Amino acid sequence: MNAKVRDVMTPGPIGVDYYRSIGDAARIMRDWGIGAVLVVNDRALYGLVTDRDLVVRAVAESTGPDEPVGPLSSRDLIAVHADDDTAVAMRLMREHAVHRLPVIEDGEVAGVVSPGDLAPPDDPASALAELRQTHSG
Amino acid sequence: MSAPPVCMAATESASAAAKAMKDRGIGTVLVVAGGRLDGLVTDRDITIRVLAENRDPLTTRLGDICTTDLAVLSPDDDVQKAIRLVRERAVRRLPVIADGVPVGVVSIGDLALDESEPSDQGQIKQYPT
Repeated sequence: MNAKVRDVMTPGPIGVDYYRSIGDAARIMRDWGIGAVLVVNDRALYGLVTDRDLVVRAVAESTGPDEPVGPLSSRDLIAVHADDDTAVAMRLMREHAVHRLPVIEDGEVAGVVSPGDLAPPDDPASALAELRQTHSG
Repeated sequence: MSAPPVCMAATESASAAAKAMKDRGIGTVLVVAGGRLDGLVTDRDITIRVLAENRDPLTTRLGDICTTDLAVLSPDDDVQKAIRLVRERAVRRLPVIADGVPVGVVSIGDLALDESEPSDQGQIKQYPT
């Protein structure tokens, strides 16, 4: 049976306000052991920012840690539905060259899925699935 | 694996590593000291060990934030070994060393995504990115 995205996603994604600082976003990623946070502006989903985004879009550009995190976000997000097969998520990641997809359910963001979540359970790489426990980012 | 790896001196700054990661499209820099592999710094390390700690990226040296005591692979190791090391050591990236020289990096993304491709190839060196 094909695994569904809901079975492997990291549920309850963490959101930060557009105007929170880059340093705060980094501390949230550290404290929650995650690699991406959703960015919210006026209570609406604005985008998504990853640990890598903080590095290549802020540190590499000499943008300081007190600047707002919002402008670093990726927008026009590609999302996957909680009921989709994990193969769909894998294909979307390949096609769009992204490593994290918001998971949508009932019109709301229910989680985030990343490549480490997606190893098929019946192949030797299933060990990767266990990593979700320690590397949920 | 992804090859060749980008190596930087332990005395270079986190800021320089961030620029290299951006310009080269990579997430890992191998840190070398005196010609030997000293450690590894990832994009996430810079987030967690520099930004989250309020350190200045311009003055923070890679030698002070890199992960040492690395698990490493040889180019002829099979993918199963890579997966086992990733699990046992709870790491996302493994340097590949040939005759003492870093020749590549295998990342968890290489393993997760490549495993889904139909393939009868079982060795690290046969998984170019």
